[in-house]
Amino acid sequence: MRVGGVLTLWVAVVLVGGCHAPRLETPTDAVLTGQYTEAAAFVRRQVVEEKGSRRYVLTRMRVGVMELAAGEPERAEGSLAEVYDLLRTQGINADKTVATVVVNEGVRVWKGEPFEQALAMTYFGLTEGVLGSWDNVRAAAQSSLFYLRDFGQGDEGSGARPRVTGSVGVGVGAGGGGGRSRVRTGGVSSLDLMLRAAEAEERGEPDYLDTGYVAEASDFTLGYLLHGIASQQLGRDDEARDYLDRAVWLNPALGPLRDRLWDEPYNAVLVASYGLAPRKEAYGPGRALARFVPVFGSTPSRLSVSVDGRQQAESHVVTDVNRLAIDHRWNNLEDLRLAKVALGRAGILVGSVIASRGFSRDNDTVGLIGLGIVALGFYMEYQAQANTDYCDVFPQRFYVVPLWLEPEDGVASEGSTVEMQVGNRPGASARLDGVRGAAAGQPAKLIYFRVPAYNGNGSAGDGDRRRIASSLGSE
Amino acid sequence: MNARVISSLLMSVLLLGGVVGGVGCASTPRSSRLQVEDFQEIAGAMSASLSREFAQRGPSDEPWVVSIQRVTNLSGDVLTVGEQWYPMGKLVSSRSMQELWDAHRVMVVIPAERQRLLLTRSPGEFDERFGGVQGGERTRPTHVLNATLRSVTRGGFEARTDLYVAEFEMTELASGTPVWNDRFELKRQALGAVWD
Repeated sequence: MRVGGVLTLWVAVVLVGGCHAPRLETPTDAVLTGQYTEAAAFVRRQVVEEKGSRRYVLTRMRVGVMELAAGEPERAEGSLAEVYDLLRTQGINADKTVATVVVNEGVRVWKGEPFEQALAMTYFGLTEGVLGSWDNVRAAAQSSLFYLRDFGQGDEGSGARPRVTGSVGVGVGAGGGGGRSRVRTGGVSSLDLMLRAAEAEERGEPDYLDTGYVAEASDFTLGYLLHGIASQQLGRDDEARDYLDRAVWLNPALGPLRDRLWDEPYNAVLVASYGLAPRKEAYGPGRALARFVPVFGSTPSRLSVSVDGRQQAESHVVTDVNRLAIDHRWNNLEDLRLAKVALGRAGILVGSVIASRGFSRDNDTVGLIGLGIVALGFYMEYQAQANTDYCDVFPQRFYVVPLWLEPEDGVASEGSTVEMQVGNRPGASARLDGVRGAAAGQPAKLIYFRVPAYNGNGSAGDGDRRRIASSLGSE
Repeated sequence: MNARVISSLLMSVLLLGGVVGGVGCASTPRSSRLQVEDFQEIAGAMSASLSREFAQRGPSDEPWVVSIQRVTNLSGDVLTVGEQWYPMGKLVSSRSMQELWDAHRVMVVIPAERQRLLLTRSPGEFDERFGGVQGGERTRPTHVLNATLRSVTRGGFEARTDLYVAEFEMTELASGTPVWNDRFELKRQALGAVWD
């Protein structure tokens, strides 16, 4: 048993050990001030060419995201097509111990947490949309709406075969009315999951992390919304209605947006992003666990859009990346799996079970003793830090706004001027000149724009900028 | 054969096993996405269908120039414009399409801008004539061909299966009359959980 434990730890250390290369540097200033060409060049220099590198996908994902922001969709397409091809590969993690990686040419490569994969699919779709392919926006959005593993709040499903709720794609609850958003926040913690896994193991049940969940339809609002708009552009109105209704069911604040898409003419769809994605960091005993920490706060600030000086629309936040990052359903729990393997082999699960029982009986003392044993075990036996690679250049939030712009066939026109403002924040604004919508009878144009946090006019935010740069290790 | 030789042989076998095992691991990644060979299979089936449909046409008949007008991707997979038109380029450059022209005077071509895209991205791979250029001039299409790719996905705990359907419809430009349509199906499966 002891030999097995040592061997497993060795394997765990080898698996994770290779990931302890220095964190990729974030081009924070360039991203926050809207200098996206510089940011794209910066992340391009960090691309690894070796397919054996764990960062093969990650570095391309970053490049694709920044190239699209820099207005280089053709280049972004090349980067993201390769990412998509690897993300679309499945069925390679038969041992189910490490799910955030894909085996590429015989080596394990980072492919991101589920929310990062959904965002990568979305970025590929946005790129295709900017290039004029609404059919590919639809396909990418569909790919982003994969099932999630929901471990719930209670003891459901322990030891049982995974169950499926909802249906593929849409239809569940479509047409639901107003009220609060149905997207979840938070949920069960890593520690809760670890304790449940320990108890299941003590009872001789199958691995809780592989069997204790319910497969649940996605709540990725942006995916449903883009699917709906793309379907509408392709003339598939019934399908569009299903997906748009589903988006509104998840977030009733998007009702006016849905109505506008049906009732008012538009010849352009603006997808705007803002902020920086939450940072992934190691924590806990031995820094063996990983979590996402917001860099930009989850404020409800709306995006106001004016066209040629007249306010044309306002958008609620469609998707908050912070919310996804802290939801266990949007995480692959790689750190938990590795830690559990190490703990189990090293005989430290006892502490987990004591803690579990202590807390379940509201006996804090017993629980704390158990947690102490676990912590000690981590410290003594599990020295491998959690992997903290993450796609640092994703934005924190997305907005979607249908617009009517000067059409491409407009006579003697210089196009429209589009101005954007996030909430009342000084500097969180942008202006685009000479923007045109689709010509009459043509599908709408998709415009992607990343609103800078500090556009140079709003010095009020410089303190925040330094704080963010510092938190990302860029300053 | 002495013990040393046997030992060496055993070691070789073990090493070879390790290499083969390694290769096996390397080939583990799987995807149910369509590959180039799949499109070639569709192209072969399509040209066979066209040959059957136009069997009554002979080499002396008025030539038909069929321009592939639009490729619509309604499958669950992203197919970039390049990925959509590459198989079309392969299709129109294939030997079976040459035979279709020789025997039945039906030529399938791709639009000029798509041809330029293909010639730029994959120089030397495509026959310029099947971009519709003959004698230095672009031929005028008599028909258009539209293609639509659809898919149905079944995702389970152990596998993902995609049923792809490629639909084609040919229309005579002068009259707007559909003159041919057909559909071709392919099923592809990849083992493993969909959400891996």
